[in-house]
Amino acid sequence: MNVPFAPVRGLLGTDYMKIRPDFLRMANPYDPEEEIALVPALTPDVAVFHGFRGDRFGNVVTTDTADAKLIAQAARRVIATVEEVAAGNLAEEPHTGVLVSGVHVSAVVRAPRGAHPTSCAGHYGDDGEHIRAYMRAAGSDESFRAYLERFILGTRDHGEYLERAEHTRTLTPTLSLGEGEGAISMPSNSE
Amino acid sequence: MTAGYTPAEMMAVAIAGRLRDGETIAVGAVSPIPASACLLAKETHAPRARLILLGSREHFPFNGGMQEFYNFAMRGRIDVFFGSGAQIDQSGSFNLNVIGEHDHPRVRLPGGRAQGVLPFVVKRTILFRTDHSRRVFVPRVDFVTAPGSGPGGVYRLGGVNCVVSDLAVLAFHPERARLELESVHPGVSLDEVQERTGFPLHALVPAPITPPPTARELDLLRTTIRERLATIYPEFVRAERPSD
Repeated sequence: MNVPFAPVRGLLGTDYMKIRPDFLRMANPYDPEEEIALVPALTPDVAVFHGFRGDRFGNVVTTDTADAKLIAQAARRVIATVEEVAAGNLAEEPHTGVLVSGVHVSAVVRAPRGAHPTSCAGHYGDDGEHIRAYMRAAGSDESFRAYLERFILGTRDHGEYLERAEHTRTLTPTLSLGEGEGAISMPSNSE
Repeated sequence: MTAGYTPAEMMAVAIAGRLRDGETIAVGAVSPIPASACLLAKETHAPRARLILLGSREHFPFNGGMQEFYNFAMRGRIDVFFGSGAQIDQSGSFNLNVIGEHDHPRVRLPGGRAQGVLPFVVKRTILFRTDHSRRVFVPRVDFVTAPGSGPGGVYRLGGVNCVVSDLAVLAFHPERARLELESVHPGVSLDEVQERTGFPLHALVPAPITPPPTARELDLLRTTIRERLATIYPEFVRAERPSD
């Protein structure tokens, strides 16, 4: 849309207005009785999202529950990773999900299991054990650096990341859930 | 456990009792207890409720992503939404951002995302906590992610309606603009709830008791609702095993 800001109903009375000096308030020019918040436009330099399939025209089919189409229209450059590359033109085929047109997309990258450790609908579910291991690692700078070294910085490529993640999964079948702030933990019944 | 039901089941039943037939009720992320409450209400007294459950294929009526969900909410189309807070105070304000000073926090939390806006445009916001304690129920939140209510002159269709915890229900009193104890769950004393709450509860004495789950409600929660919840919250369903 390329508008410089948007009015938002909400936010007034929250502490977001204190920590974000670029969030402003003004009288609604069409109804001076109403005060309304203004927030500046976000224009990401790069948007990255994962899709089911992509083609050589840049078309990508992805889940309709996320906002790939929105971020693809907001960012200056758009990179889509996909489970598989289609031979034909996705815009001419029926599809399940949402089609992000190639006119928005700068690059399509084949990356099977590219959403790991989160899920890719119709392909694989969450890797809960890996996410729990990540949560525990994120508890301190030291353990987080070790996580980054083991799974990201110390790997050649995404394939090696997946090999190490798979190895971790088989080595540690039961990790306990970290008791982070806001984590849902329910006592189980002991009757 | 002597009660014959879990704290999560008590909370789901207490929340379900506050949902009405015909309402549009939405559940966001990481909210398995509200999701069970919605499914329970629909199976019992609210068959015509419209449910929007994030993460559900069956109960997510949008194909335009979260953008379409938010647009729908901003139009005032949602009657009830749920939330939680690392801290909740007597004014009904809740905090999902930081514990401590904002720029030097002791704990940095996920942040508000939806909650900086939704409590303004949703008619009733129901908060839930599974660990009623002074760490959660504080005199004043460190950061106001969402205020429980607000002054005139700002667009607002509703606000915080109540907090359902593992011990009690605190209801928001609109004229006094504060949370007050509505009921304690069976087997819980008013003294215990007050001891574990960092602000005065202004309760009736003796405190009313939250109606416990009925046999039918427990049966539904442990059969059809459990199966459907497992498609959205498999980890929660694995951890919550009342039949063991």
